[in-house]
Amino acid sequence: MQVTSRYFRTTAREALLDEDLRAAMGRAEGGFIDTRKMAVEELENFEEYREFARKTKNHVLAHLDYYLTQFESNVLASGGQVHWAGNGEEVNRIVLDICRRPDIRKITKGKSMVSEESALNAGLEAAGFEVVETDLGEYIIQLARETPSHIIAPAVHKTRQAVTDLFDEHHREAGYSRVVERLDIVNQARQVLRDHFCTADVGITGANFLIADTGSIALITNEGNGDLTANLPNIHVVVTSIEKVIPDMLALGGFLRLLGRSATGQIMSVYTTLFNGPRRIDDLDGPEEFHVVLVDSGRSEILGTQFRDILRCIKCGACMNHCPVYTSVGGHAYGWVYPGPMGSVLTPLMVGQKKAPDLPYACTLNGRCKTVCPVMIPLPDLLREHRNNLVEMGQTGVVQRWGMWLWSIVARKPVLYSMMTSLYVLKLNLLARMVPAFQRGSFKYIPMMGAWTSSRDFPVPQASTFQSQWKKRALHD
Amino acid sequence: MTDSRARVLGTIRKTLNRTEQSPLVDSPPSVPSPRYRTPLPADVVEQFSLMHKRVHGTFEAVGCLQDVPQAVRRYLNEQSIPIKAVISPEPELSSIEWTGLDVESRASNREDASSVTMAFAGIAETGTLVMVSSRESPVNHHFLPEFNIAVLKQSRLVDSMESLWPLIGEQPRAINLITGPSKTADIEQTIVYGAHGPRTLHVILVRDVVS
Repeated sequence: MQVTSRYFRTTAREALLDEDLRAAMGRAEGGFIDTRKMAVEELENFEEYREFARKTKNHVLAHLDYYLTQFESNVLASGGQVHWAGNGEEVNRIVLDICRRPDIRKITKGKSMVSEESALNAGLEAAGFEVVETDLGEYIIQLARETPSHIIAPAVHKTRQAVTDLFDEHHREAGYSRVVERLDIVNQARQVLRDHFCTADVGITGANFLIADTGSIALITNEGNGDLTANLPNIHVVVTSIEKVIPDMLALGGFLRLLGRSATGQIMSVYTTLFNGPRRIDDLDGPEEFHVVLVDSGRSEILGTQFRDILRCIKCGACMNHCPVYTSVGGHAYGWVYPGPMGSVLTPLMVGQKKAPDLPYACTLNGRCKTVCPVMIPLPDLLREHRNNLVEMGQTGVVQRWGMWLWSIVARKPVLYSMMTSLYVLKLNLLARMVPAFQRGSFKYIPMMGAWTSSRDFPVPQASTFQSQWKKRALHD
Repeated sequence: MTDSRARVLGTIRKTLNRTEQSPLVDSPPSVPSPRYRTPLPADVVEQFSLMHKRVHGTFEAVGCLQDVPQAVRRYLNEQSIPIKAVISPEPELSSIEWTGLDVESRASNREDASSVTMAFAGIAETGTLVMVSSRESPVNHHFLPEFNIAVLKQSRLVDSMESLWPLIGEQPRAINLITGPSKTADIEQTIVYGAHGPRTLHVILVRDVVS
């Protein structure tokens, strides 16, 4: 997928002015947070599971070659084929090679973020194949010719009205009527996609976990589209990445107690399927060929850096659901496959820091993402690590460099620091008193801070600085 | 492709400061046992039915296998759909006398409105049905029809996923863990049932355990 992360500042600003996006994101944010909270609180030892998951992933990463080869030999033993792809180009070439046969035309696809990395759909379409995304959210954005804006809710940025219009535009010719209600929209998608499921020649899905001990692929969905994609065509291709391997089924149980709760607040997603190779000789259904494409695309390099922790990610989306930046600007502003905090860590590593210089700064360091991460990735720390690297590389702007230099001088002199902050608070208070409109508690505009206040309000400060209040309190005590 | 394999594994070993395959010196951490703030019902049947209903599944219990056809008939009647179903070609389901019901024992296709399947097991903790594929249990029965009825024997209920794995011998092509009917929240983050898989999931529990 094309990287547009370097335009983060511009796209984020535009996103903040997009009324539809704000409406859609506002609706989503609360829902994700509340349902997760309820599901997590039910499980008293949720923290123990997080600790288990962190340790298990660390253990696997420290023995990644062992587990990958164990996984590989078990897939082969169950009659499947394993392909290794070093980068995105290789992913697309491998899948194209599997699909290039005279009788293959239509390909259905379950949701796969790894396949977004190499823009697999575009590659297949360019080679003349018809590619149909089957997850409802993915289908919607495929019709809109857009990319996912969330890793588990790819069309979270779309309003119902927008879906109504899209379906009308694309389904009318086939005789479908305009649908407005949610149930009718879902039903229409069900009918349209049913035809595709039943006529597809190849089904491509992703994977949530790879189980080394048995060579199983664990695929988790709620709609059932992943299973219809995997079971109906003659060929099932799994596109997945190397860090998804876990030791065994027992470990899977531990991760499942975390994943559903963290992602959507579900105790268990509707469909958790374990695939082991192609159909057996006397099976009545299932694909005749089973391929697994193991994608590296830079992950093996990340393993050797201070960013190794990001490879624990199980792609639940909790970090972005709890991120004030993500929920304000939406996923597209981030400019590549993975948005939100995990995306801001991963994108610079996968596409190069120069192509995504602003992402490490798309963070207020509030730490909520770290608190909710089911595999305990220290996301704010990793973002700070990125910032350090950018400073060392001289990749920061002049204003920022000088600003930080100036601030560091003032901050090292307590008297000067308290004098300057007191003056500033005084100025703001005077301003608030003079202009009646400001007395409501926030500034819409502050002289010389126009850039800051253009997209948010600044609260009117209390009468004095924190330091002087603290001093007074100490005196009272 | 062999080159890529060597390259990927080579980079991994290099970054892990190794020259060859890492030996597995320490074993992976063990999985905690779940503790719930509000303890789940002690009785596994009650627990299963509670959790299954929480995810929009429906549930009833019958005395023996021979009671299943009547329960299926009643259920299909309630849904106002034809009294016919595709059933899994499985010995116990095939041994039942399906009087008053038009059943066909075969793989399913897109014309089948309802299916009757035999669950391999049920997980009480999450209200999950476990389906293990074989010649006797085709996978599409669980996904293609709009109405899915699963027969579950009480003796096949396990408390958690951890107790399930020892029951599965050789790995089948597919193990389907199914928790409720198909759903989506892709339109305005609001749940709609019957996305691509079954709209309804009805469990008929057969009390084959003498208490």
